[in-house]
Amino acid sequence: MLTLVFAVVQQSYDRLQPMAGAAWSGCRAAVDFGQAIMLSTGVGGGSVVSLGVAANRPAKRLAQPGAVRAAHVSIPTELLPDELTENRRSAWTEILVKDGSDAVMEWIDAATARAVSERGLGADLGAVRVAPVTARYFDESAKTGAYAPVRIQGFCLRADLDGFSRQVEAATQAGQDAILDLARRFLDILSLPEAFASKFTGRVVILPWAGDCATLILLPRDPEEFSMIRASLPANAALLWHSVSTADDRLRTGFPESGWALGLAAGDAEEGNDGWMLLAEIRAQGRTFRVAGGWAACRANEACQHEGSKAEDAVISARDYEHLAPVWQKAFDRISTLFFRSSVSRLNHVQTQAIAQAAAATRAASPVSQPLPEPRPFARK
Amino acid sequence: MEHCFRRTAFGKREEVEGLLTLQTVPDKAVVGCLCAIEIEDGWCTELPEVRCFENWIRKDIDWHVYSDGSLCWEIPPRWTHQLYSVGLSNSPKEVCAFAAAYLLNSVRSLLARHHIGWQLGLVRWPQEWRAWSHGDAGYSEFEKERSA
Repeated sequence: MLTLVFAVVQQSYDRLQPMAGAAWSGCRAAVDFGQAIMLSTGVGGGSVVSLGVAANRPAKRLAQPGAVRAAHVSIPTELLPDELTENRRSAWTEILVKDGSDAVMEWIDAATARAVSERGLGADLGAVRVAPVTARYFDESAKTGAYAPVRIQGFCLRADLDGFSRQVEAATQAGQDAILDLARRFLDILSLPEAFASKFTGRVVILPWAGDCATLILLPRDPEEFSMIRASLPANAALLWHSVSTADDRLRTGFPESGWALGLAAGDAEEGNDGWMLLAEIRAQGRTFRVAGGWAACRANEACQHEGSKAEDAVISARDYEHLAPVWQKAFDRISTLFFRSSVSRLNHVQTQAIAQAAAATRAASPVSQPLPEPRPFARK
Repeated sequence: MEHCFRRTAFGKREEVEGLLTLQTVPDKAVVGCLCAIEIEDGWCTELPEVRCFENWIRKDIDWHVYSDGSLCWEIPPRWTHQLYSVGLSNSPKEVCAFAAAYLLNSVRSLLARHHIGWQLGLVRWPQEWRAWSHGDAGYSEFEKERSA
């Protein structure tokens, strides 16, 4: 495992850092060991989903700001021999994997690391051209298959099934039948991103599930402009996700003790590259794996995992809060310097109240004794 | 129209272009909307045509806006009926004032709903907002209500 991490991190510094220049902020990794349930799916270009504590804890560890330093791998201390730990009382140990210490190098198969690096990143990265595209590109590429590397402008929506890991833990302790039952129920909810996409007004690019987390890129429909949709998209997407997830019996009853915590981010010109993300499909081992990179994808993940976030919550970045319509801003509270939070019930309340207020808007005074008629629009067919 | 930019006469019709102010829902902010109102000589029986050029206007027949941005802010026979009714006991000048207030109040209401609809990101016209049914069904509704 250390050999693989070493190969990936070292290659990222050797090949990606020179291209990224000042934008480079390092490569880091986290790992864990234990039982996991593996499900093969076709979501996001083809994906194997791993469920369980061992699959979940590294992701959570990496999402904690500042928890893992650049060029390091974070490993549960209990898994490590004494030679690789400085403090056995600490739950996690960080190990430098780039140009590592002699102690680390002893644990690494350098020849294998080199082979992994050469095979994994053998393509000439400098030759890849990344074109900006709009929603129409995905309508066309849906017919032809995998996406070429592209730049897209939109929101990243990350949805986390809150409380799911505890159920995986309980199932693994209960035995094979419980694991199979849990896997069957989880397979049902894999269709949720597609159900959401079918009702969403814009275009949705579905990424592979990451454990119990769904990731979607939300784009304006052609010819809508990104600047026009950002006033309402985070709130509406949150309402739609919760509406879709509770509308279907299988989705609602599959995990009655769990609910969805959402994170949404796009960013603006001041911070976050104005919603621009990179999207590509990596081909490996007979399948493709769709990946998105950029500020929005990263910040949506952090928003989703923000401390205290729970089912029915929608957390958005502070940058995106600034661009929300005033009516939606009232539904969000600041929870840190980086994030604002609302809940489905508050968003619903704000929407219902605003519609009612618009319905009851007062009429102007009439210049004669007969009052002005109630405004009531019409349309010829 | 509060801030008129241009007034053009074309034979028997006149077009006024400028900013129409309205109070937004729910924050009651005042916004100016770039609009054009075209009034025919026979305006008592011909509904004045109003177009709005703001980018938050949803050009959708279900939102009472045609693809060229013209607003369907009232059903024509109701306009005629209302003005006729006011004309029975008021002077022509008062009928003019009533017609202007009627038009602006109805247009402002429609624009305010588009504005909050855009803010909320609504796709469908909410059922809570009264509107005549489209086409012939709307005319039937009006006749039924008038004779009730």
